[in-house]
Amino acid sequence: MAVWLLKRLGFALLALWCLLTIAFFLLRLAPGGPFDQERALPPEVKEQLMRRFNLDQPLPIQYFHYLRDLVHGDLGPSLSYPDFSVVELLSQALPVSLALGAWAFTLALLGGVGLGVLAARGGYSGRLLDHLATLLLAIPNFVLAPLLVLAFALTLNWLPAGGWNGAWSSSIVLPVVALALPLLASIAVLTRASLEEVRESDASKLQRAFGFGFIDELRGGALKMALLPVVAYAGAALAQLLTGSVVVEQVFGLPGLGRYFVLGALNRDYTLLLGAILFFGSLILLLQLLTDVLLAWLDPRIRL
Amino acid sequence: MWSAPLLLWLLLGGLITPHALAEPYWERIFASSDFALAHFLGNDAIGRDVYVRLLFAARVSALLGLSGALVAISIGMTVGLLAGYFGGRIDQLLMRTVDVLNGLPLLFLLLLLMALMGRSVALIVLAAGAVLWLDFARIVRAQTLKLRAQPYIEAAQMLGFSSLHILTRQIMPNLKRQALGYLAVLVPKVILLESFLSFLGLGVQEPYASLGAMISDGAIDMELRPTLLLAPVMVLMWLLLSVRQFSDSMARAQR
Repeated sequence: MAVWLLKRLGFALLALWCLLTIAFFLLRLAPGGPFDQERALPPEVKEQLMRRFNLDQPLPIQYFHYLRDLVHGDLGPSLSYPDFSVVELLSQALPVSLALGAWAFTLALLGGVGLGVLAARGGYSGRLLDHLATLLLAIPNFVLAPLLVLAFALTLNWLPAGGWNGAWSSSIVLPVVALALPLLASIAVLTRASLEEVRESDASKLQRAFGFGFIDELRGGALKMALLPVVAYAGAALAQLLTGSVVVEQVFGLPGLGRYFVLGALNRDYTLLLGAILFFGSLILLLQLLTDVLLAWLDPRIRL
Repeated sequence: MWSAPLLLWLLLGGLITPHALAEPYWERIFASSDFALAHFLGNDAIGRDVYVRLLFAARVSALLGLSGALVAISIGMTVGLLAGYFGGRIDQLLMRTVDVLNGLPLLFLLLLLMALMGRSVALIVLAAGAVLWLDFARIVRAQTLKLRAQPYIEAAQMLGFSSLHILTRQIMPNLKRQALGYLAVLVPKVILLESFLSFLGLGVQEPYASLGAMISDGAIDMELRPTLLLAPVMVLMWLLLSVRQFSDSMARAQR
């Protein structure tokens, strides 16, 4: 078990390193630099700035410096906000994105599984779920978010339309719902299909023959079996969830990682951008690793 | 069927555009629909006619969706064919690459790319294709492996046909069905991807319109005039549903 975990961790770190490297060289090779934005700087000033941030050295040396600093936990100063280090800026934003992602994932998982189980039980609820899910799956989250704001914040005035008041306040409700709903729909459909398939198995039929009710059947192992593909899918869909959070943060004005990502991209702020990618990538890979552990716990056959 | 009227509208609607695409009617900012002046859906924040922009945006989305999907299919087909036919080291290498790329949040790199490299349409199409080919490569590889075991392939090899010939004339035509099926799945994905990019401001630029950009603009002013948000949303949904229905009926017809 431990060996398998280490292998997974190693693979995750490799992927992260790949991501960073690709991003690093993509950034440096793109036209335009961090100081070319608003007004044209006199060449001496620009040269001085480039030298201060080590941007005038050949690429492989810059890359080496970056990796070396990274190992020491230093992501460098932000090029567009030089008074702040990247780590400072992003560590303020991380709790916001983490809360958003965690709430959304939990909602999607619990809600989706719940709905799927319900649908696998009755007759008409299954068809209802189908229609609902098709609808929800067709709506991208950047469409859903403004629609939710229109309905619940502007028309009904039940919830705030934006801003951030902490991870436990009402301002997080709409963003989480907007982010979670599409994933919830796919999880529900998958859970239902999976559960129905499991209930066709001999073990389930035997349980029913003995007079087990639906809930007892579930507790008797059907749910655990049915959840395997669901958890696997959820882990894979996490990356999409976090990417979607960029849009949701924009629509609701949340001070999360997505905002710094967009800011860094627009300002060509290399260090900030790489830092944001690092944070996002780590978050995704960490959550995927956790899902893999969950999967291994659910199904002992996976622990190689 | 939804897609027939949509297709007609997309193709022929361009003949009946009462107004120019990016023409700002300064006296009609946020005006509501006025059929007398042929502003069917009103005007947006800088006075442009919403109906014409919608038509253009829908066309752009549909075209980009198709092109991006074709790029993804091409890349995926090539990689899958090579990996499946030649096997061995090439297969290992290609599949490992696919695995690693699968684990990466490619969308972030895509956002990065779009933000940095400027916003040409060709780049959007290429980038969309570059992100979405992975699954198809796997499908093609599995199918190629199956086909490679067929006796007529063996016969062709023994007769001395070059690998290129076998790949293009014998194997690839048998992949048409998979390709068409997956194309139908990919087109909505590319449309959504392009809309996502435009929503963030990284896709199709002014004065051209895109559904994502219109949704983003509409969301800003939705208190004032909800039509600006609801109209592009409806059209996007219509477009996506039509493509899905189309692919469903195609799948049904093939069975």
